[in-house]
Amino acid sequence: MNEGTNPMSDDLLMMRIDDDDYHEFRDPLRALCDGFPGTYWRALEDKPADQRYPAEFVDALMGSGFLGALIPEEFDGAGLSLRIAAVILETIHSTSCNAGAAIGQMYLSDILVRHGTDKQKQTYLRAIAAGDVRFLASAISETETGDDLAQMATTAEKRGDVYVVNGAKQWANNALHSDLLLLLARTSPGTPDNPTAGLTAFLVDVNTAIKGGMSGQAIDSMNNDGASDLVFDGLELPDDAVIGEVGKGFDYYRELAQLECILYAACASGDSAFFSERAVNYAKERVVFGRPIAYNQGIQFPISKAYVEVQGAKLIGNKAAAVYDSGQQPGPLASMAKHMACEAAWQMADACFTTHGGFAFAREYDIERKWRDARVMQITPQGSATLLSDIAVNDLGMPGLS
Amino acid sequence: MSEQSVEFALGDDYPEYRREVAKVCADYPPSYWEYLENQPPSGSYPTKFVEALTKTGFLAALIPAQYGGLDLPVRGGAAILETIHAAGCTAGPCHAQMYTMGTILRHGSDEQKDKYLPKIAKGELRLQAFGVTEPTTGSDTTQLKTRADKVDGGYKINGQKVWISRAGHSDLMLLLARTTPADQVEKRAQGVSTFLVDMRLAKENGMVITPIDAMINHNTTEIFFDDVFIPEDSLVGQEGRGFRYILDGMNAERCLVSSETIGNGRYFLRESIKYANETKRFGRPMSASQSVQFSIAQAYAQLETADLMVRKTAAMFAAGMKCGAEANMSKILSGEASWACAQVALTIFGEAGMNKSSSIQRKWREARTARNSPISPNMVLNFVGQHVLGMPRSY
Repeated sequence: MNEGTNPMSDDLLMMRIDDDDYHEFRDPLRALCDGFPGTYWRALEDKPADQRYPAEFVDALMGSGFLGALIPEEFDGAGLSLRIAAVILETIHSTSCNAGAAIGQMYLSDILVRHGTDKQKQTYLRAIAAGDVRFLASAISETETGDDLAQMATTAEKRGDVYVVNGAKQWANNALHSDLLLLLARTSPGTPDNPTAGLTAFLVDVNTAIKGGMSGQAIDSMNNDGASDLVFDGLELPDDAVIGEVGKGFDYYRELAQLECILYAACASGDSAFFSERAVNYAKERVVFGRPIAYNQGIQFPISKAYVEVQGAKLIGNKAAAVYDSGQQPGPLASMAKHMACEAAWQMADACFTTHGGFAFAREYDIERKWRDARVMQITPQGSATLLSDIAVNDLGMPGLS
Repeated sequence: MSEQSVEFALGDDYPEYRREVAKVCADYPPSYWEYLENQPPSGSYPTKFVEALTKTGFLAALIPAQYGGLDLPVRGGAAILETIHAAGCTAGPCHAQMYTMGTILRHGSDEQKDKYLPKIAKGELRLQAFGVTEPTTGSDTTQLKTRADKVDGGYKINGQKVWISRAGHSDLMLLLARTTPADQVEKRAQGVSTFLVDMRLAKENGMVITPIDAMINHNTTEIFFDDVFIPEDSLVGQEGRGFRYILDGMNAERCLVSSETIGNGRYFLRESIKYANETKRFGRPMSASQSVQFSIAQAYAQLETADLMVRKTAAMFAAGMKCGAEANMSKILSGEASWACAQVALTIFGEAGMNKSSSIQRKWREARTARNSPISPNMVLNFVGQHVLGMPRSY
């Protein structure tokens, strides 16, 4: 190309793609995950809801240092890019494993990095980076209000030098296995212009809270995602539990949600890799009507089609990470990344399920377990409707729900 | 997949070209295209539009500077074509001018390059026709039956081609014909040769072009060859290797046509959002309904996804990497995404979009066509299944 005629603007963001990259992360992670095969995860699912937590797997991940990828180096984290954090999660999910029990450790502390006091940073970030303190859970949504956070009923009332929390949270996953919890509660009423004003973010010491004022219960759900309800009954939080400014919690949560979306998109891409590998291998091995079923376009095309969607979705995930890593807020692009990755993963999961025929139901193949996970990921932590709405309103300029 | 790393720009790359192209397109409103469509058999050639584009030099985007072109990489051409379609115009009648010359550039002799490329760059010669598909073989290209038999001083062509767009408006055609019978070669892809046919002479020697009446105005034709003589120097590269030469150009072509498809998607989205925001139904803008809003957002997410795959393919092509998988994936992703946009648009506009004076229905027909052409989505899935995922050849 003739440099002299290059009309490319210098101010456009460049995106780099490596299709087979970061082996220094992928290889040791795969080795770690190999220690937790399908038998491990299936045995957990056989247990009662409150005993399903993959403690040994989370211990191993905590010890590996990978979960401190995003914590800045000044707090002894790895200070890596979001792209690499995504690679880590994608790799975990490409195996029989599921990172859901530990994923919070990777990104929840971002709220402390951005908005925490010096004391909060000094007290917690190093310990989180080292895996000594677990920050795995957030308590945001509620039974009655779901995604309509402006309507949340949990309150934190200032009394003297403490905040008193009353209310109930649902889907506070992993809260009972964490040392720290991010809590969003109302400290003052919203305004007509800004109904989500007056929500405040708190850092809750779970071990203290559980001794008085907070109780939790595991939810028995169709996948092993550490789901639990929390009840706050006069929980007292010290002044210094507030993260950032009082009343700004929703804005901080929105920032965090972008990070969360990009990381969950990576999990979904990992699941897709799991399903496509299993689907292709099985289709090539399984002989029916005298030849491998992969010869049948009825089997092959859904796999190929889903694979194409997965490759596209990965690019959106990479783009969102590239934007984030350049220091900009990806905004609705993060929603797009999660939405497309989860849709593609579901398509691939279902193609894999169909390919396996009756064996898809057999638990020993792990297809049905990962398939359930893939379906749930379309709904949580942000569901398709929320994500599409974010894109429609905040990117395309259509009206929001009023 | 092998280790590979490419880098590409996000956002409106090649902004100066986009601006210039948009300026030209502004002179060709929906009424211009509607008028053309109403001419029998299924529309007439947009001569004025093509002349205006030719004057800008944009159709010579990919031709090296030494032959008078703009010397842009494939992505530059893609940005130009995307802009044309996003503006509501269509580059279909002239896009082949941009990429068909690639075969001559890569495989032609110095004489052929010197003789043709400068004139193609200036637009004095139109190389817009690409004679590959035949009525009885479709996507099964190596089975083509058109023969080129060696005779004194050249070749005699016999056979028939179909879906050869723009043949009536082109001076030159790239033609694929068998020079060695299929039963005398080891692999079916062998024994096929590529020719650069001077259509002006060929018409005098018995080549007959018949327009096909189709649902889109692509000026597509059938071509009949009955002992049509072409001179020896029409052969491009080596005899018998023509199939390979055509394949070499496919990835660039897929990148470029996918970009047009994405441009159509952008047109649908822009018009749909504007209409849905401005049109009130049941006391509020249509866009306040999630059925409208979500289907637009979904189509948009698909379009953005396809757009990245096209950029990736172009970057890989420019870096000399193998990009067949990405080019095929670009094609199917852009086709599906643009179709999603088209369906949303037609649904939202309702009867206003179906009116022949509306470009929504015209673009909607284009969007459907883009999913079948120039490659069938089934062939894309075959490629991915076999060459990317390692499943057996299923056809």
